[in-house]
Amino acid sequence: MLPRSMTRRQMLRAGGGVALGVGGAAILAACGETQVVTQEKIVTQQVEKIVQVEKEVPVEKVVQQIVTKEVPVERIVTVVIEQPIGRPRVRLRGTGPLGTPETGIFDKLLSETQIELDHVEQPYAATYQSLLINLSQGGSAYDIASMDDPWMPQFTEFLADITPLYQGFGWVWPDPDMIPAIVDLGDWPPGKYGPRAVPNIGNIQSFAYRTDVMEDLGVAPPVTWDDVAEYSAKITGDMAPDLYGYTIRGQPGNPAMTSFLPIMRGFGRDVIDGDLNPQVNTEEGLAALDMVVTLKNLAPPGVENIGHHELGKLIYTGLAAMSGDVWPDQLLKMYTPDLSKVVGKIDVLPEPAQPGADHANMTGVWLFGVPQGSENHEAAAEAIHWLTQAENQKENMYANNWPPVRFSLMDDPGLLADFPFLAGIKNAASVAVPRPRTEHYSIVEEIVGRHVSAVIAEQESVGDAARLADEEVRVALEEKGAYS
Amino acid sequence: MLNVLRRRRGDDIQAIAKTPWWELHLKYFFIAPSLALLAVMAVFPAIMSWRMAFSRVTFKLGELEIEPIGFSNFTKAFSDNLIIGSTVRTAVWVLVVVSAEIVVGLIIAFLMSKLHSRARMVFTAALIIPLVLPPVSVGAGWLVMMDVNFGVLNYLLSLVGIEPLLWLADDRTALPSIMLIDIWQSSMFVFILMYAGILSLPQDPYEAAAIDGASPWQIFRDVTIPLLRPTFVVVLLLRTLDAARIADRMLAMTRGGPGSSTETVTLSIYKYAFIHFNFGYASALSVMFQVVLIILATFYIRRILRT
Repeated sequence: MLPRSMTRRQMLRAGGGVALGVGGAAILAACGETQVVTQEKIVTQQVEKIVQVEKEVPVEKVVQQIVTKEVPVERIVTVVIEQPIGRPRVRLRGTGPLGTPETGIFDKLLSETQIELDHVEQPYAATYQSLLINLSQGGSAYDIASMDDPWMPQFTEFLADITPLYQGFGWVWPDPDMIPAIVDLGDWPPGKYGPRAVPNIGNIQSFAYRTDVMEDLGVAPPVTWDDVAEYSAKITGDMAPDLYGYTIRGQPGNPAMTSFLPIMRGFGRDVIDGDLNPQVNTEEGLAALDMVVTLKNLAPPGVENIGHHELGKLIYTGLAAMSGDVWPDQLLKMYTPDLSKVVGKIDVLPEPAQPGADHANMTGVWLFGVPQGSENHEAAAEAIHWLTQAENQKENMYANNWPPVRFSLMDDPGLLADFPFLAGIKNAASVAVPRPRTEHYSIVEEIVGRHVSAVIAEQESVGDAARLADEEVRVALEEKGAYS
Repeated sequence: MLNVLRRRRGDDIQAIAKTPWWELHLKYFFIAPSLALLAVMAVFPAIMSWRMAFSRVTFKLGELEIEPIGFSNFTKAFSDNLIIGSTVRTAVWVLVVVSAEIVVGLIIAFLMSKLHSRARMVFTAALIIPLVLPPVSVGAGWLVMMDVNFGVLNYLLSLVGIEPLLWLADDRTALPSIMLIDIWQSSMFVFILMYAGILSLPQDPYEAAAIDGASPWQIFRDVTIPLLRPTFVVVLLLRTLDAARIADRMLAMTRGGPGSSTETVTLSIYKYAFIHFNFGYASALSVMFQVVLIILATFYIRRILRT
């Protein structure tokens, strides 16, 4: 007699028992030996009987004909595939600007070296963050890191030494064809760790100006920041709102700082000195901030919130005549007829400097490094060597407007004919200096850049901004132990 | 009676004693995978964040050096002008944006409830479009439209003879401009919840109000709004928490500028963490921010339970 109702536990047990029984039976059936029990049973069934009858039939005689022809052979070609015998394909992963897949550069790398390079594309800030975390934690997420030169002081200790890796392949390092000042960016502090990175993109900030406007004014191109302010006042006064004298980036942080640094250096002082003491609240710093305010007032409206692309647009649409914060990718747009109203009217110079101060164009070089945590040091070094060859750098100039870092390419007549501004970049490179070389530069840039932005937006006075910037930089660097 | 109960309890104890241990603890086996996942994804980072909040964190090759420093990171926040400014700005942001979104969302929901069903479908589909767009893409699109020199908004203003506005380039208009964009996008979220709330309201109170001769405004004020109270609290909870965490829109449109006029708490935390690489201080700020949000959420949830 079955019980009328079951408790939950009984139900669970019964269910479990049934499941166990069925499962066990299935497992036993699958794993155990099959025991066959036979039982005789008589089956009666009607079947159709098919009778096959074989019969001889006459067939025609089959004759096989073989026809031989002579074919003239012009030459015999032996194809030799140049592929290292027994070398397996290596797969690497890299981030930062490595190349553009559309140009086929990674396919070419694969066919020539058996190295397959996966490119992890990320925005600038994300690249920096992911690299810092991966490199510092000794992670193997990346085999090749493409890094902006201000990041190098933070990253060098986490990168593998390039010299022994190159020597292992019999290659000379440093490469004598590469511009030494740019190569040295990968060695920080100088001589402590040795060269840790190979430059690939020779980005240099430059001062760009409208040649036709200068001709109309009847003046020579500006040499000092005072010249820039004077000419800008004339241009804006005479031609605004159709044309303004100067343009500057006002967004806080990196944009404002990148526009401010050449001005500050042009007044003879850097934002921090060799001992990392902040220098904005100095005579030169205050004069530079005053110059920023002067130039901002002569700029098109809205520069308080513009970044890199918007600044370039103000020049190539013909709305601004000068800027000291122009980079090669923007120059390419200025020389593109479909985009630009100023094709052939732009020239490039070293940054202006006040009398007695040095011209100081800023480097924005991108360098390749091999993270210490990578499990493919040799293959990564081989890929870096291949990617930085003259032929590939030339291709990158055409595909991405990435200026080369090789002497042989800076003087290449073909490149100079296609990119007339390359000569100007070369001149700018001759006086280029990197941003302050410290692992804490990103902090200095964020703080000073925020206060420069506040000055441009007229949120803070020049005096307040300089004082606050210096105070905040000092406190932040003290916390980092920079002065101990 | 007492004897029966004692006997039954005794039977239960005997039954439990006979039950194998795995059956008694079976429930833990079932929830273990979820708990493990939760621990890895939420609890461990939260514990690390709290630990870092009381420490100085330094990056060394292959390790994080965490040195305890007590409450220094917390006390520092109260004298940090950037954080004080960001906190005030975030509070203003939440107050303005959430209030405006509730008003706009409610009005749209009410008007939609009066429409014919086919018209409702068409308008609902159209109104949901802003909601499905990612905030960063929306920010990039509006950035182009609000460009002072080349933007379509200033062009439209010029057609009616209005001087171009500086939109994001003026510290007085930058935050209100971003607020406008957020209200445009997030009101649609409020609208959906309010609309669902209105459609699910009982009809009896409306019929009673109509028989009593109440005007449409009186019905809206004295019937619809009180009945929608639970929906209001849910909307307030979700939108307040979401609005307080705003950072992506500012990062895409102004980077917190001009100066620091659009910098919010989460943007400051992001900068301290990933530009200054001061993970200790950024964690302390996050912990304080979490506590404030938990208090707010608890307050709202109690209201929900009470209603």
